[in-house]
Amino acid sequence: MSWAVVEHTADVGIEVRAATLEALFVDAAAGFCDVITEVARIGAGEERAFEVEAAGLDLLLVAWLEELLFRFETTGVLYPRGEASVEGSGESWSLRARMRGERFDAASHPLKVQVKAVTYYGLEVACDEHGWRARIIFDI
Amino acid sequence: MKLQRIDDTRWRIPREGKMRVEGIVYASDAMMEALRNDPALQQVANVAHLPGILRASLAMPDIHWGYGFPIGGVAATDADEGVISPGGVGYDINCGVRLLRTDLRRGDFDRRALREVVEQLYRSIPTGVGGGRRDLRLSGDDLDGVLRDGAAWAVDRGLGFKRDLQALEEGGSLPQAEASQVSPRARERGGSQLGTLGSGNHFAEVQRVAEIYDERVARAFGLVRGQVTVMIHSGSRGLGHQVCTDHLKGMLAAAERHGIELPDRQLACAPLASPEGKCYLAAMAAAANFAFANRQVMTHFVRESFAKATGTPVERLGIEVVYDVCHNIAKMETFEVDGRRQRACVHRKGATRAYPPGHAEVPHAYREVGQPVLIPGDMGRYSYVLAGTQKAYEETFGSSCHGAGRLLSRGEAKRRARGRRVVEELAEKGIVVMAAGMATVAEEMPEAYKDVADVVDVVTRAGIATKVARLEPLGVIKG
Repeated sequence: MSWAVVEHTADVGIEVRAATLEALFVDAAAGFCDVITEVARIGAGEERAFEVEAAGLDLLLVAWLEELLFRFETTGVLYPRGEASVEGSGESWSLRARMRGERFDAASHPLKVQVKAVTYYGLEVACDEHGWRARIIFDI
Repeated sequence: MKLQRIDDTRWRIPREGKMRVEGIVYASDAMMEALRNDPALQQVANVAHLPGILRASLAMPDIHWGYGFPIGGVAATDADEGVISPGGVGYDINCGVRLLRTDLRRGDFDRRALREVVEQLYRSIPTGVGGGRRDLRLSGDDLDGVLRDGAAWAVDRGLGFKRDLQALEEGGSLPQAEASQVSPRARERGGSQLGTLGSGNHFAEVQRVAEIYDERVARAFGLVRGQVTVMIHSGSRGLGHQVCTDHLKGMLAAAERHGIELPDRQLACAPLASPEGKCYLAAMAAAANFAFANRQVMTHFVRESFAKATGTPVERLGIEVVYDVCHNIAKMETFEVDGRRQRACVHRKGATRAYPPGHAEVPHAYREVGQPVLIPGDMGRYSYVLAGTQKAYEETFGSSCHGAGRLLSRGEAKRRARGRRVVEELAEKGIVVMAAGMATVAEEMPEAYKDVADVVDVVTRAGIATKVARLEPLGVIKG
C-alpha cells in the first residue's frame, strides 16, 4: 500500500508515494477509493478508459480524481486499479488510463465516507530522491 | 499568529503583509486556547487578502480548519469593487438547516411509536450513496424549473404548501439563478439526487423542545416546551458540488488574469463585475435553489412519514416550517457600513444569517422578534433556536454561528468509537439512530463535536444572537 490517509479536522486527505508518476496516479485512485470504502473489497469486473487534461501536473491530479468521483456518482463504479500514462510539461498535461473496478454495493462495500469534492487546499505533487509523492484533501 | 483581545468574546488578528483588513474571531478564552495553533486562524488571515473585503475577515466561535476559508468564516466584499470566491461558499452550496414544528407532543410517543416514525423517515428519505426515489425522476425541463424556482418548484408540484415558502430564507429561491450556467456534468451528477439527504454530517432528526429561554420569541416561532420538532440538515448534493468544482477551475485562471494575489489557491476568486464572477453567482444561485427544493421535498417526505407512522392525516399533524437557513452561501445584501448604505456580497462559509427585528427580509410573522437562527448540535446532546439581532446586523454583516464545530478528526472519532456500540449507547439515552453506514455513526458520535452550548454562549454574550429554545434529539436518520 503506497497511500495513507491524512487527518484533517473536518475533512480527509491522502498522501501517496510511488516510484513513477504513472504509479502515483494509479495509487491516488486506489487511495481515493479507500477513503470511500475498503479498497481490498472492490473487484475488477468493470473496465473503463479515461482521458484527462489540465494546465499543471498538480491540477492534473485534481482533474483525475474529480473524474473518478464523477464516474462514481453517475455510474456507481469505483476504479482502484489499472494502468496510466502521463504526458506533458509546463501548462499542458494529460493522462490516459485504463482502469478496472466494481460497482459500489452497500451490502459488500462498507461506506466509510462520501466524498463531495477534490480540493486544491494543501495540494502537492513533487518528486524527490525517494520517488514521487502527492498530497490531496477531499471535501466530505 | 498574532492575536489581540478586543473584549470578552472577540479577538483581533492585526492587519499584516498583504491583508486588506484585520481578522476578528468570536471565541471564549478556552476556545482560543485550543485554537491558538490551529490552521483555522491562518485561514482567517488569508481571507483578509480578498480584494474589496469590507471591514474585517470574521470568524464565528464554531470556527474550525477548512480548505481556503475556515469553517465559520464570514467575509463581505464590496458589490462594485469586490470579488466573489467559490471557496467562501464551499462545495456544498446552500448546505443549510430547516426546522419543522408539529402539533405533536413528546408524550404522544412511547418508544415503539417513536421507532416507527424514525423507521418510516428512514424508508422515505433516501440516505447515503445513490440517487433519489423512483417516484421523483426529473426531466431536463423539471431540473431547469428546480434550478430557477427553488422550493417553489416543489410546492407547485404538490410537495408542500404555499405558506411553507414564506418561512424560508430568501423565500427559498435566489433570483440571480441561471439554469444555463449549470453544466451538463453537474446536471448528470446531481439531477437524480433531489429529495436525498446525503451522508457525512447531514441528518434528519426528530426532536423535542426541551427548554424555552424567551417565551415571547418562542411564541412567535410557534414553539412550546414538550413539542415535537423535526430538523433537516442537507444541501445541494452532487449538483452543487459539481457547480463549485466546475467554476473553481475558471476562477483559478481568472484570479491570475485579474492580477489577484492569494495565499491559498482554494481562495480563487474573480471580481463580482467580471464575466467569471457573474457566471459563478448565477450558477451558485441555481445550485442554492436546488438545495432549497431538496429540503422542501424532504419536508414533504417528513409529513408523509409522520402521517403513515401515526395513522393521522397530514392536515391534523400541524407540521409547519419554522424557518430554513443557508449556512454555505454568498448573497448580495445591503447594510449600513460607517453610516452609508453598502451593497455587499456576503460569503457565509459555515455561518448563518441572523437578521434583526424589523428587517424587511424577516418573514412577517417574525418581524417583531427577529429572524430564527437554527443551530444544530450533535446527535446525542441538543440543538438551539436563536434569533437575529441589531448588533449582528451592525457587527457581522447580519451573521451568527452555524453549529457545534468538529472537535475530533473523523479518523480519531472512529478510533475512539472502536469496541463501542454508539447506536446502543444513544438508544439507552432514548435516541433512536438509523444510518446507512455505521462508520458515519462513529465519526458523527457526540464526542466528535464541541459542545454547541459553548458556541451559543459566545454568540449570545457577544450579542450577535439571542437564545430562544433548546431542542433535544429523539430520533435521527443519517447517511
